[in-house]
Amino acid sequence: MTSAVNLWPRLVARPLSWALIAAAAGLAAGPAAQAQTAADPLLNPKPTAADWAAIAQQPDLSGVWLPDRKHANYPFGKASPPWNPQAAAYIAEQQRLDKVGTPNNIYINCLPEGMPSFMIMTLNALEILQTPGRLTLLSEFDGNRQRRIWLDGRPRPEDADATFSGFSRGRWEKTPQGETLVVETTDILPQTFLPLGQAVGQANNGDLRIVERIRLVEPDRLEDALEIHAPHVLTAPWRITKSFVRTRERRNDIVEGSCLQGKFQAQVDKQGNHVFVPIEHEVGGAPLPRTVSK
Amino acid sequence: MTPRTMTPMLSFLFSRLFSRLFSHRRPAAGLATVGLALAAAVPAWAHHSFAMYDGDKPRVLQATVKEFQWANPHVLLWITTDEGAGQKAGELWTIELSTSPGPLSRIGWTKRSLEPGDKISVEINPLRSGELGGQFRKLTVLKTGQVLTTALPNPDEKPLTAPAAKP
Repeated sequence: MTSAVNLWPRLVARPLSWALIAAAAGLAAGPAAQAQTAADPLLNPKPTAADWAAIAQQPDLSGVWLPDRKHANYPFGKASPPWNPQAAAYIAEQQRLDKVGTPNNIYINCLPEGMPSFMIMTLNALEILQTPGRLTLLSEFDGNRQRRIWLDGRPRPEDADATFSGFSRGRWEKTPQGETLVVETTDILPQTFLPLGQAVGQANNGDLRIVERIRLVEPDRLEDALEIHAPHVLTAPWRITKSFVRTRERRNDIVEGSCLQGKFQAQVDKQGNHVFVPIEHEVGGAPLPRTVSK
Repeated sequence: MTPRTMTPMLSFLFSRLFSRLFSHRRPAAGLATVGLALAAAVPAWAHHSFAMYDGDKPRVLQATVKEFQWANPHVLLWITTDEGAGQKAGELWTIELSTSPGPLSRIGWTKRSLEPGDKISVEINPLRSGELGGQFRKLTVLKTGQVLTTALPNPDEKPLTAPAAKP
């Protein structure tokens, strides 16, 4: 176990060395230097007109997207990840429980669904913001959670805190299929699921790495080809492509998607205050009428 | 909750709980622990499977809308059954829609699609447990004849976007 004392030299040394590098880079680069080359690795540089102009030259991913219902993988198609034997047996049992009506739901207590669910489970709208240095994905599904893909060339953090969505960084690549945003996501919590349904999924169990190739296959159709490396539960990467269509209709703009509001009934209490009162639920999540005000 | 619907996970939690209770040296503290643990042991489901509803035994209820709750992640409808063939009158049922206001508003629903007092005929997948709950399939508002479903329009009939131009 690393002692606190041993950490001190690292904590002190790192900002100092970064500052020196930043100062050297600042001297070398003139004011015309591209802000997004991140001269100072501790600062998000102020976007310049050149940064915005560069975005205009990239494929335009911005706007509201709906899952493509004509796609073979809507919602899952015949997705069959290359499970290892233990995971295969677990998944088969979850499928059996779901089939007999005693589902073992995987998304509980409003914890974020995280990656890869963020991209492959949603049937709701998704909004993409394209701004200097990053791509931001806003979901309607799963309580309006968000995902950020760094495009500013920053390195993967050393010893990052694992999160539900992980740490994502991407770069544009010219491929025979056209310009493709290649994104690598790491530092994902080991508890996030590789999902095949609301009650069928396998925890990734650590060391999950996801590579996505995101591109416009038509002006208003976006494909995300995911390559999911989960060495503790898969024998080979699980490859699954999801497809989204862009919509300009305002009725499709994403709306608030609170996670658990529907688990409560809106009531007015004796003091005249508007309150949320929990609804009784059956195991499995079905609301029951017993606690509803008569 | 019935033993039949108790998932293995919950069985495990309960068995842990009771073994803890009976091995505890201070009964009063043990009971308090159980009270807290019981409250915390039952997870709240956000998006969940609808497998606890029986899709093989759909039934139709003649009912009056008590309340229509337009909320995420699943819109809820509370109804009171009316006189009708094969049903008891005056029962309060909770009907869960398998979707949320966002997708529903895209196919024409609004928070005013149903009002308290509306007489409806509603088709549901009933809970396997026999409790008075069901998964929404479709309904007809008797006064207007309007049929409401959660089915998305056929994408071949109604494109989600303008046809894509070739690059």
